[in-house]
Amino acid sequence: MLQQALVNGVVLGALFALLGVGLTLVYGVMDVPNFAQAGVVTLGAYIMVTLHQAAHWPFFLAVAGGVVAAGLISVATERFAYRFVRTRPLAAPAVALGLLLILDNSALELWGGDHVSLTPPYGAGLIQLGGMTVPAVGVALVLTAAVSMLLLWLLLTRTGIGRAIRAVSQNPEAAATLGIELERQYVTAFFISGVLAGLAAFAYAPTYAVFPYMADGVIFDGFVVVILGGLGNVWGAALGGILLGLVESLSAVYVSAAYQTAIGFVVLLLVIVLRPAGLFATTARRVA
Amino acid sequence: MTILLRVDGVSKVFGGLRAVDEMDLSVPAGTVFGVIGPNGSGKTTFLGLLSGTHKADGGRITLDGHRIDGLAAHRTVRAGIARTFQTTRLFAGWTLGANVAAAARPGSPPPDDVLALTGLTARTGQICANLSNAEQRLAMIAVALATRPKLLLLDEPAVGMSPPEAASLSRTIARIRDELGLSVLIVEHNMHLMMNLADRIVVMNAGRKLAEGTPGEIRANPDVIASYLGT
Amino acid sequence: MKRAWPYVGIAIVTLAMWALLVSVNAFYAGVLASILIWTVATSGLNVIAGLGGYPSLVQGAFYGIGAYASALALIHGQNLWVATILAVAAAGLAGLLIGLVFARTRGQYFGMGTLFFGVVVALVLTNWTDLTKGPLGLMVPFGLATNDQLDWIIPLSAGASLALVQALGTSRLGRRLVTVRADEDLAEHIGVPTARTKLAGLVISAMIGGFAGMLIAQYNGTISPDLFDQTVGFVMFVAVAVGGAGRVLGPLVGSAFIVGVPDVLNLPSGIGLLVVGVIFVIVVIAIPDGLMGGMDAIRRRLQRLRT
Repeated sequence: MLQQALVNGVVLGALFALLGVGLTLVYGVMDVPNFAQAGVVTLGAYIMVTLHQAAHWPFFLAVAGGVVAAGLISVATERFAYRFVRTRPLAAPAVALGLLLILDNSALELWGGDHVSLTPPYGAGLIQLGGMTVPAVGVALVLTAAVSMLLLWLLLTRTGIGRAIRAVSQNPEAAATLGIELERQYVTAFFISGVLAGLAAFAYAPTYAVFPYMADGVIFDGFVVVILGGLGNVWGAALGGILLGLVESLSAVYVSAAYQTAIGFVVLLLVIVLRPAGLFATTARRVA
Repeated sequence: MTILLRVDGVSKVFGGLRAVDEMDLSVPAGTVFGVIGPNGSGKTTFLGLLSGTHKADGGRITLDGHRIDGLAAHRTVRAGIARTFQTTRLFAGWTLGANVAAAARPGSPPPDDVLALTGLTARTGQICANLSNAEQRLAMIAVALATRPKLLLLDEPAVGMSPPEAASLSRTIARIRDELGLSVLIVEHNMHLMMNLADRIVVMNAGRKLAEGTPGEIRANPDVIASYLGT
Repeated sequence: MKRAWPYVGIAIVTLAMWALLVSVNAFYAGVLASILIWTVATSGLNVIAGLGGYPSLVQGAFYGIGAYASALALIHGQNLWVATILAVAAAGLAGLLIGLVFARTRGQYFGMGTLFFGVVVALVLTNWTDLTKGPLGLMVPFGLATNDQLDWIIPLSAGASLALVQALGTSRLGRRLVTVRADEDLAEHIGVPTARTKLAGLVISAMIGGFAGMLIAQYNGTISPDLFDQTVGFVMFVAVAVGGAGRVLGPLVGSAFIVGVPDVLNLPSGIGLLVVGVIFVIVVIAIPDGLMGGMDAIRRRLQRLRT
């Protein structure tokens, strides 16, 4: 019972981490609460389903197509909307909501409201892990998250692109004086965030159904993770994701399944009140 | 001479760094008191402890016999301490008149008086963001005066001012002391202004009081010359 | 005399709304009533978010708490007066709780904290089935003598909430809230008790929101959790931003826009919401001060042309 709950928690946590890291990355460079990320997940999932089932692309090629498309959609939200409200923090949530409506309802118009499913080749597989049963899709989710985090870590710490993003996140003015072109970093951050949303769609869709509002609920957990980790703190978000997954999964078993999200909220509340800069904060705002 | 502000053994620690370390100070009523010292010596933090911006980790501060350490900033203002900031801090999108009005409380001097005293009467209707640097520095003083303080804390009031502007600021501060009878505590790097204006000067180094005395005594103090004025 | 003009203006707007409400057909009357009830709720939000500049995303929860509190009071045999007082008090208490918990948070942290409070209230409304009957919702007993009475109570409530925000804006509390919006640290240093000011602002927002909840419960006759979930709180914030945060008529204009446009366009829900999304991304981007601010800018430009 406990072990199963822990395994479920890690699977759930890997999903939260994928979402939270994308959100916090955008937060770090631009101070935007990107609720539209949920819409990017949705569209990414539908594109995968369409490429795989209607266009008969091989499964993993269809997934890659959906991930890239998600990255491009995310960039489009920045180019066509967010960049105009960069200096207006109160306008950003309104733009985010508008974008979410646009993305979700585009999905509704294009694909209808029915639940469809994205079935990977290993879809129904079960893996025995030391006496516990783990669905293969759950293992795929955890692996996806782990590999994504590793690649992101390499990107942020070992490449010029990563260093530029971190510089902008720490201090945009100073980064600009160092000759870092801010526009390009915004686009890059949104692209990475969109790719992570696409990966979240790939990780999420086989377990849950694909429908226009599929990610509107889970995006809230993504934001809990962002705050747990401290706004803009990528590794904080990754750890926070796993932590929240475990807390929610354990509370679903031992407290109440109906109030699972509420428990997440209680964790958030404690963090906001006791450690306003996040659980893992060393300095106020940073990426990596 | 009655003591307005008394500071006894006040300290502030920021993550292991003792920014202010056991400071003592007595500021008599109706005097201009200068605080000088190298960058990072704890001057601004000390000012913040007096204004309630930071909470002291130890020691006591009394104003007019009432303890004020540990009070929230707005209560410190009500107790009679107003401050200005190193970087200009005003409601920048509002007119100067609206800024002064926002600070007023029962018994405050009429806005016209504080604006006249700071030489800003003609600017009352201007948006603060459109004022010159020197005018904005003076506007912060006008706003502070509007809260009816007994003690005025000025954090580098002459930053970015030309020599004639600084001289005019100096005359304004002297009038605040002489005509309103306030005490003024100034952190300032402009040594010329400080030596001519201050009644007494305290020198800080590494969060501690290095020396205290009249400008003449400070100028002659070998410790001060060694650690600060000489460099 | 000059101080009376805004109230005269609000009175005229209120009368016009009443006249419109009783003269148009049932479909438009329904749209208008929804807009006016939203005007009450978003006027409440205008206190903390508009005057105080705090992005509260929890107004939908206050609205829901007011609706459920009034409905439950009526179900248990109380009259509408008692039900209304309970609605306002319950929402006010929730506001007090949120205010105390989030007193030290600012900006986006405050926004997200309040958003999650909205999530929790929605969860409680859905899952506390003994009390709320869960997702199916409650039938609300009608507390008035005749149905027609709502035709004037709703516009009057909208007018009163606008007048209340106008009065607050010129009061000491209102002026203090505005200094908090402009620069909270500076406000504290000129003697504004910022923590108490924000708390008072949030409680007033909550109480007005609770009153609006009573209205929607009476108007609808049934209530269910989906009318009050976190999305509603979010959309109410957007309505205030679109109308013009801190402007007295902003909530009316914003509500008309956000509630009215989709209803009147009467598009199928997918396309409808898509169009709404496009419209308010454009409005928010193009008109920084909201629609009311945009009108001011146009008026100033016209005046300049004339001189």
